[in-house]
Amino acid sequence: MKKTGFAASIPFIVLLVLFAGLPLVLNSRTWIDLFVTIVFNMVGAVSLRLILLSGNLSFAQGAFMGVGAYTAGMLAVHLGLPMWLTIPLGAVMATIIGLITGWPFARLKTVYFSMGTMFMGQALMLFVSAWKKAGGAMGLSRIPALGAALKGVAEGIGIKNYQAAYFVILLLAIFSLVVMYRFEHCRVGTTLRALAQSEEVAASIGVNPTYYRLLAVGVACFFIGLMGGVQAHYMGTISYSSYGMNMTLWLIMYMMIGGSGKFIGPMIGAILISIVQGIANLMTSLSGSSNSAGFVAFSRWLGENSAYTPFLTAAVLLVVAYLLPTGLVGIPDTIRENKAKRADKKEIAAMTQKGGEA
Amino acid sequence: MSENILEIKNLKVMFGKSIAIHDISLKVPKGGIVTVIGSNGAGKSTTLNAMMSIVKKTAGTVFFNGEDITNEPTQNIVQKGIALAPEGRHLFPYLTVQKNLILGATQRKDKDGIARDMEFVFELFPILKDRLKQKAGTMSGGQQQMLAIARALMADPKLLCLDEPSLGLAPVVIDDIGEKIREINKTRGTSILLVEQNVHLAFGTAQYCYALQVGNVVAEGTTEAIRSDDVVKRAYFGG
Repeated sequence: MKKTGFAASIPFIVLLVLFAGLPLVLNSRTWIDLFVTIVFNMVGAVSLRLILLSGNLSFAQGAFMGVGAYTAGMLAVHLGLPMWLTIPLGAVMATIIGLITGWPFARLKTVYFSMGTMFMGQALMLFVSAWKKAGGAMGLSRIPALGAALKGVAEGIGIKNYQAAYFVILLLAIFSLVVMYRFEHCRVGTTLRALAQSEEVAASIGVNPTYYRLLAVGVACFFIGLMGGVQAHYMGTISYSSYGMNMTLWLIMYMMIGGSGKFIGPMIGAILISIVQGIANLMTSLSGSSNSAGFVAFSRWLGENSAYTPFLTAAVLLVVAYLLPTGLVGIPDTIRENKAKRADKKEIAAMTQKGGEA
Repeated sequence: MSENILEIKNLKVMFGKSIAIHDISLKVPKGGIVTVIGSNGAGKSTTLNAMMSIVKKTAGTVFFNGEDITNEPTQNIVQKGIALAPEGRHLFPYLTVQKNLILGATQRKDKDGIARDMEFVFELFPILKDRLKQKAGTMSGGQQQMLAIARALMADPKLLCLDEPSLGLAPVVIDDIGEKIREINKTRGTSILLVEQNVHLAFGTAQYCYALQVGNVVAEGTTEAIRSDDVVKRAYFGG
């Protein structure tokens, strides 16, 4: 840790202010939807990185968000349980399924772990799609809405229902991120990194690899399950297709573009790429109230071509991978290194010149 | 309780169909330094790894402090008080010296004890204190070996196993390591099992010696006796 205390926490404080402040001003439903999506994606990408700390890339994180969402949704729809119960139960269910399915996979390493979790995730969502009680291929709908439940509170403060829902989600996300941050920065985090570097050596000094791998999977699944649960109540309707392979791949994309070396990396990636993904939607909705013909035309063009977003993101990923192998969070380090390199070159040049004169 | 802190009886290890260890029995007395010498492929490292349950034992038993630990998993063995500084000083190269040391104490909960042992290893190897924030992989070979020993000590072992600490080190550094091993044994009372190819370090450090050859113990005795043993001479010095 080069930076300690306050300096290291500045980026987090900036993000906190942005995410707490902006939704108060930009309070249309479209904007809030975008903020909610970003918050979900941030927690998802961070949870993915938590598993990656131990050297494994999970391809089932999207599916575990789905487990959380479907658990919460079904408990609310079929049993009429209240939200403050269904959402945590969604997280618990995601953890349980994560641990049970993770048990055999915790012995696998690197690409085999990825393959195992990939099929696992697909299988989970296929199961859901075939389950009548879960709404089958139609998805599960009529889930009690978080915004409606907060109506009284929202009116009391003078904000909109969905705004109140957003702030509840934000609080849960902050809780998730803080716990995961602490988890990484205590001894467990160091042990996970050690496991990633050499499982054999870690085992020889008394680390139980399976236990620690499962611990990381459990914590990651809990928080992504929590986000899934709250998402079900925010959206009101969920579909198994939105928790498939695509979702996981996007999470991986956020993490890689932001940079997996630092805690804040996946958060930055999630913010930027979620905005890119949501921009067409946002522009279309904004153009309704705009007088500028150019703006309307541009947003229409964007809307018509939003199917190309993955290509754009892939292009960004390629550029980042080529220029910044440590992701966007690596920019300050890269600049510093280049400066040092240039200074070294100058020094060497000066020395050789002197040598030439002598 | 027995006199010996470690007792390995008729250990046999096979990798597939090939025999790595035929039949090895050895004892480490409490507070003693015992060395296992032998050339490449004699089965020295395999003995340690099998004892620690890092590789599977085909047959044989291992007793630690009179307790049967033959089938215990590695983490339990470490918890009971055996620590291994593996061959080729396997550190975590991308973690700092400090984190490597803390990882050595994975199984411990006593914060005061950990802090005390941290102080002890800094006294033993002052260079580590200066390099606390440096990545382990960027240190010299000798420093890495010191860190490997220090990390093993952080588990507060009753028995410290060192696998070829002399590997790839300059003679003057090897002498230094030998001295530190004796110091650990003297000040902490830690029993030591030293596996070595470098007989000078082995004889200079240990009181008792086992000589291995292709998976068998071919000679054993006090270091003085072994030093003059014909079998060993033939095996080692081509005499």
